[in-house]
Amino acid sequence: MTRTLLLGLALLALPRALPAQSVTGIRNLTFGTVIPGVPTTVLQNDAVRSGQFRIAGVIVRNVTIGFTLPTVMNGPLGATMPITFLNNSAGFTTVFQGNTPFNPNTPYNETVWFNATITLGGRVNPTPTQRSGNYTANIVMTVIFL
Amino acid sequence: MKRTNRMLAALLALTPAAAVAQGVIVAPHAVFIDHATRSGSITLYNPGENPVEVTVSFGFGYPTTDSAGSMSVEVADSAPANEPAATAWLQAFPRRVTIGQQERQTIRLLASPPAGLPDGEYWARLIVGAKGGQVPVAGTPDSGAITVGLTLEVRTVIAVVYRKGSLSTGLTLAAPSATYANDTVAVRIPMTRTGTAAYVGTARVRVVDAKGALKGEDERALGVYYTLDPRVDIPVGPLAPGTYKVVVTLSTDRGDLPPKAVLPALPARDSVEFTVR
Repeated sequence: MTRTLLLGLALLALPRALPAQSVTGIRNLTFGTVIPGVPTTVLQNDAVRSGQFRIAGVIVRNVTIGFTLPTVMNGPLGATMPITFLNNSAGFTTVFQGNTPFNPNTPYNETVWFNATITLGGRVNPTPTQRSGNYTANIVMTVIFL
Repeated sequence: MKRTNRMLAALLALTPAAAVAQGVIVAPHAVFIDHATRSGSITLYNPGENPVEVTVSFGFGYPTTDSAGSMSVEVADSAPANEPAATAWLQAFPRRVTIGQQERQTIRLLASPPAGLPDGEYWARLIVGAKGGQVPVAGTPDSGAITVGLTLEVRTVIAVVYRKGSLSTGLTLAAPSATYANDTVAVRIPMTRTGTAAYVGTARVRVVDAKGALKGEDERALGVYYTLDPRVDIPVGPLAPGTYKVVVTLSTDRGDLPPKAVLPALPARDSVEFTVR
């Protein structure tokens, strides 16, 4: 609550007539430990492991949401691991609209009322001989305010 | 309460989680630069607990609608040759900056238009990218386990408008259409911009019954650069058999933008009836 208050004070200190919008990454997409040769899927509505973004600071705005998604993740000593995103691997939720799955591989158009939460899942396919270690990649979500 | 304050209140009340996230708040909603000053600015605020790396760049794009009325903006690195683009001669300072926790940063936008630039309006899109610090993936590399995690980066894209000379705008509203299905009225609003500048305003759509009682309404920001034919879905619930009217009002009223930024134009209004059997 204190931090929210600080955020409010900072925003109110912005010059007059500067309504603001925010796009934030809330939670990383995490698969945790996976088993060689066993594909692992994280659903977009997974409350713990799915990636989560938030759009806020608008009353009603049309937005276009696009993702830049990796096809492989980079691991130790140049090792890679494939990752895929299905046509229902993302979800859109607002205060007036329950979780609506959408395809993160193509631009998605929606109306944001006050704020919106976007969730993202995916599927990794480690090979039976996948090298052990940590695998990472970057996901970019672009929100265009129309 | 002014609309700006309502929006800030909504932002604060509804997004406490954003205060601990990676990303930045971007103000204002759009940037308007005039030929006299040739400069503008945006303010960024990092509400999180970690520094955020921010990059600022420009692209080109404007809202369009497809055959189904879905609205979108496709942002390209550069503009087609025949478009009134400001992309090539806008610069941001700084273009790359790290913003500490709960700190603000002003980004200056400077325009260097070519000599002899004709009067008119020139467009660009400002792209603000924000990336938090790398989050370590859980697990120890020498344990023989495979651990997987993906980090998030966000980009906020807002409009930049550069104006030179005396400009005008307006809209021609063709006949709207309305269909009712699944407790929702789908309204199409075909619009063509007139004048020499984009139409920036608000579309208000109301659904009323034969006695004038309100059944549903919608209000949304609007930017018509050339033509636009958006579909607006208005949830109205189950409707009893009868005749209903959809009233569409378009105006240049935009509470989220500075009054000087909005070019005035006469409101456009039309209506269409539909019947539920």
